[in-house]
Amino acid sequence: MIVGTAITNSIRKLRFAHGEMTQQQLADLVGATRQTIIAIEQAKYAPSLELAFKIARTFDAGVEDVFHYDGEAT
Amino acid sequence: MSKQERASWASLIVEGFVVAYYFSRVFAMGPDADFASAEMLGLIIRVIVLAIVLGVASEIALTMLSRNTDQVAADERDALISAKAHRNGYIALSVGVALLIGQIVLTATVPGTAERGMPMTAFFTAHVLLVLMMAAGAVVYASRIFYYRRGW
Repeated sequence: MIVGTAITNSIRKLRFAHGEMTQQQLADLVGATRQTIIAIEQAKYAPSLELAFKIARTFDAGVEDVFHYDGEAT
Repeated sequence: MSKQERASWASLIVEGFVVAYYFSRVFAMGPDADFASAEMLGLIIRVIVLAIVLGVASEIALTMLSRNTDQVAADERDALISAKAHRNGYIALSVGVALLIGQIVLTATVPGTAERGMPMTAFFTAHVLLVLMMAAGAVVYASRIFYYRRGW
């Protein structure tokens, strides 16, 4: 059973657009583990508001430019 | 696999080994084992010491063998998974204790129950509680692994 969250994101695309940043580098910048970044990118885990803001600011973007709410969890 | 998930696997394996050791010694004593004997008390102490020693050893081994490059040992997702796992362990322990309390009350109040069932002596109850604690621990570690495998 695959469990997901209604919140998708563009983190992978943004990482590649920012000097091909690795998941580990992003994790170190926002104070999370690489596994959490992987889970967020795969929409298996919805980050807290604080972590979402940290990720967005890493890419100099707004939260809604990075995260998207689909309305229904899968 | 994250450090936390590896630690959960190690803890589950250690728990399984300790439980297997405990039951192998209890069954070796036979059906007429005296739960109040010095031998039983020694077994309980050995099980507790074994659990602590193996737990510390596995933690040291994991730290030495870890190639984890994360700058944080645990983040918000790890904390949430740990909280859910401990909730599951609490539920398992509560159900077990409730059943034990029911058994004790039945034995004390319903005539003939003591003769038909297990002798609810203090030492036997202590053993049952020890088993319940080990089972609850296993539920916590297994829950952690389940949530890590699922992603959340």
